[in-house]
Order: sequence, then structure tokens, then C-alpha cells
Amino acid sequence: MQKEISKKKIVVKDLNLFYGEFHALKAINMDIYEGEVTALIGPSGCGKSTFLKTLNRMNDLVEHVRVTGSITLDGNEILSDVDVVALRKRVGMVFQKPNPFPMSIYDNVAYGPRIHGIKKKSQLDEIVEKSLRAAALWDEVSDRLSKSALGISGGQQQRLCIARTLATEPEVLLMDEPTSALDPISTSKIEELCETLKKNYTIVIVTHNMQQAGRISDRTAFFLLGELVEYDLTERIFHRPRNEKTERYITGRFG
Amino acid sequence: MRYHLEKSLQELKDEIGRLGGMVEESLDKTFLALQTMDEALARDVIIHDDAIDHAESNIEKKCLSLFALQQPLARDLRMIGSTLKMITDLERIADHAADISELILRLAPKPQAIHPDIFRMAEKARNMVGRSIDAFINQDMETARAVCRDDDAVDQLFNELVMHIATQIKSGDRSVEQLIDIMFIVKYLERIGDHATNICEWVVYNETGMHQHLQHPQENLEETQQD
Ligand SMILES: Nc1ncnc2c1ncn2[C@@H]1O[C@H](COP(=O)(O)OP(=O)(O)OP(=O)(O)O)[C@@H](O)[C@H]1O
Ligand SMILES: [Mg+2]
Repeated sequence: MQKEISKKKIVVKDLNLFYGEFHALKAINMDIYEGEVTALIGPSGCGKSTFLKTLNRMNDLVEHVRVTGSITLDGNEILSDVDVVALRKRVGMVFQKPNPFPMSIYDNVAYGPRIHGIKKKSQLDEIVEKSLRAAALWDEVSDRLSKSALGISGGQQQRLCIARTLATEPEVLLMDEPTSALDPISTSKIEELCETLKKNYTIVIVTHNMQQAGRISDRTAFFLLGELVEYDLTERIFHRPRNEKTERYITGRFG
Repeated sequence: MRYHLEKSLQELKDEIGRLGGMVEESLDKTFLALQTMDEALARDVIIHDDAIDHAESNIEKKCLSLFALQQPLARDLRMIGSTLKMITDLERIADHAADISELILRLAPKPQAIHPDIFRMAEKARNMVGRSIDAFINQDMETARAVCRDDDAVDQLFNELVMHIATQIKSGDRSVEQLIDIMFIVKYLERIGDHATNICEWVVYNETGMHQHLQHPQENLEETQQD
């Protein structure tokens, strides 16, 4: 099986996160594998988004946050002094609500590469097309690249945000409930996208949709009250989880 | 939470109980008919088989619609999946009761002595079926494992009876046609034991998430090598 040879892309060791006094992540240990989709599930407020954001240091933007433990990306510590901008280029993020910038479709995608110093029109054209194709959006927008990104549908906007993230050529793609605001067709487009993208990227996705986690992820992590309760192959988790709490959560018998 | 699914699962269990009851009744009638060569009773079993098929297909529909509408996971997934599998075994057991009843109708006009071990075998197989259904409904692993062990005794009787009938055929004392019919009855009884064992394997699966063959050790070995 391919699983055996997967490389550990991210290794989280004894990670704790505090929002002021509040202990939001408790001693998390988790290996995230290259070329896989890892799903994070758990009830609202259990720390999924918090955990996701530690993976590219988005929590730095929040006041009174304290983080202890270790997270390595390809073996290099990211919690200590690192170039956060460079880190976020390698570890891109897509949010729950599509958040296109109020500019043209083209400029949205070219935004990141321009920031990273690419000026040449032909080079930008190439990146824009490649990213939009990778996000399975090219065919739908190639004839209106100069139109405002706010004028396309929600599902298209979300894929545009994915294209915008892909344009900076990240290695890891973090997605926080990327389809929760989308209809089934747009949802399945994004899910298919995960399937194709994982060949070249490592994907970590937060979802409240169990069936979605089942459809697209290789491994699933179940969080509860800031703890990582169970982490295993998705097939195992959804078929016969080891932990009673996981079982109760995924069968909808919680609380 | 998930009140609807919870309720549907309970209804499913009730229906398995009802189907199981019908299958047990078929077996009881069949074995009584075998003892008394009662053609009316054998006919009754054959006619009743449609009702059993119907009950099985109703449960099947319920399971499929639960998959579609409730998208069950973990324990619920295993329960509905194993129900879908075990009702096929139940339906097959009833088919074999009807098969035996057909043979009774052929044997009845010229009744001959039936080897007492055939009744012993029928008794054991009947007992396995009853306990396997209870084990499934109550998710009783211990009984399930015990039933699987009992299958060895049924298999042993099967082998002995086959030898015995073969000797009788060779001796030429009795009608070969009748002996072949009796041989088939013995084979159906052996299959009934196998189906009861299958049901018990699903009980174990429900608990462990692993479907293993619990009957013949050799088969078990091959299975693990294939994996
Ligand atoms: N900036 C913040 N300051 C203080 N507490 C916070 C902050 N952000 C999140 N929290 C708290 O941390 C806990 C985890 O929040 P987080 O957003 O990670 O949950 P989540 O699992 O993503 O939930 P949801 O499924 O609702 O998105 C919650 O109790 C939340 O109230
Ligand atoms: Mg969240």
C-alpha cells in the first residue's frame, strides 16, 4: 500500500495553545503526511480552526496567544523564529467564506506572485492560467479574466480563492470548511479538486460534513475540547473507530 | 439525537426477529414433515416460502433507504451492512427448508426408514439457526462463537452420513433414487448449519469491524494469506 511509504510532511509534537487563560489546544501530537488529504473533524469550538491556523502561524495575528511545543515542516521548526511570510507561501490557506479581493479575476490570482516579485506579464499570464486550470475554474472564466471577481458565483469564488492560493505554489494547502457555503455541485467540484491536487500538495481540511471527510480524506483527526481524541485512516475512523467518543460523535449521538 | 435512525434501527431488529421467526417455523414444519412424511405440511412450507422472500426483500429495501437517507457510520454502518448480509443467509435457510420439503414430497409415497442421525443433524442445525438469530439481535458474541463451534458437529454428522449412504447405494438394497434424495437432504442440512455460522460471523463483525470466517480453520488461513 502507498500509505507505508508516505513521508511525514508536518510533525506536531506536544502542541499547546492558549488564548490568554483559555487552553484551546492540549498536548497535540500528530503527523501529517505528504500527498494525502487529512480531515479535521469535531464539534464546534473544539479547536479545529485554531489547530489549522497554527500550521502557518496565522494565530500570530491574534493577541494574547501563547503556543508551546513543536511543529516541523519538512523537519524544520516553524514555531520559533522563521520568516512567516515565506512560511505562508509554502503553507497556503483557504477560508470558509470565499473572500475574493475586490479586483479582477486575473488580479486576484496574480496578487500573490506579484507580491513575491514577479512582474513580467507573460510569466504572470502563465501562472494565472495554470492556477485557474488547477483549480478547475479556467474553462468557466477564461473569457472574462478582467471582470470583477465579485461577479462570479460563490462556488466559482471559492475555486478562485483556491487558485489564488495555488498561484504562490504552496506545498501545503489548509482549508477551513471550504464548501460549507456551497451547493452540492460546487462542493463536488472542490472535492474532486482535492483528489487531483493531493498528488502535488499536502492538504489539511476542516469539515463538519462527515460524508465529505469520508469521500476525500485519507486520514481523519477527531478533536474534542482542544484534545486530539483519535487520529487514524479515515476508513478505520468511519468504519470502526477505537474510541467511544469518536464513535458517538460520528454516529451523531453526542451530547 | 439521530432519533430517527435510532428508531429505524430498532424497527430493523424487530423485523429481523419476525423474519427469523418465520424461518424457524419453516424449519420446524419441515423436520416434523420429515419425521411423519406429512405431505400437507411439506406443501405448506413450500407455499410459505414466498412470504419469507417478501419479508427479506422488505428488510433489504429498508437497509438501502437507510444508507441513502441516513448515511450511517461506524456502529450504525456495520449494523445495517451486516443486516443486509445476514438476511440473505436467513432467506437461504428458508429456501433449503423448502428444498427439503420438495424432497419429502418425492419420498412420501414410498416411505422408507430415515437414519436417526439425520434427525440429530436436523436438530443441531435447527438449534444453531435459532441461536444465531438471537445472537444477532442481542449482539451476543459468546453465543455467536459457540454456534460456530457447533457447526463442526454438524459437519461431522454430514461426513458420516454421506459415507453411510454411499455404502447403502453400493449394497443395492434400496432405491438409488431415494438414497440420492436423502443425500440431498443431508447436504441441505449441512448448508443450513453453514448459513447459521455466517450469521454469527456478522455478529462478530458488528462488534470488531472485521469479518472473519469462524468455521473451518483451513479456510481461515487461506483468507488471511490473501489479504
Ligand atoms: N481569538 C480568540 N480568542 C479567544 N478565544 C478564542 C479565539 N479564537 C477561538 N477561541 C476559542 O477557542 C476554542 C476553539 O475555537 P476554534 O475556532 O478553533 O474552534 P473550531 O473547532 O474551529 O469551531 P467551529 O467548528 O465552530 O469553527 C473555542 O472555544 C473558541 O471560543
Ligand atoms: Mg472553525
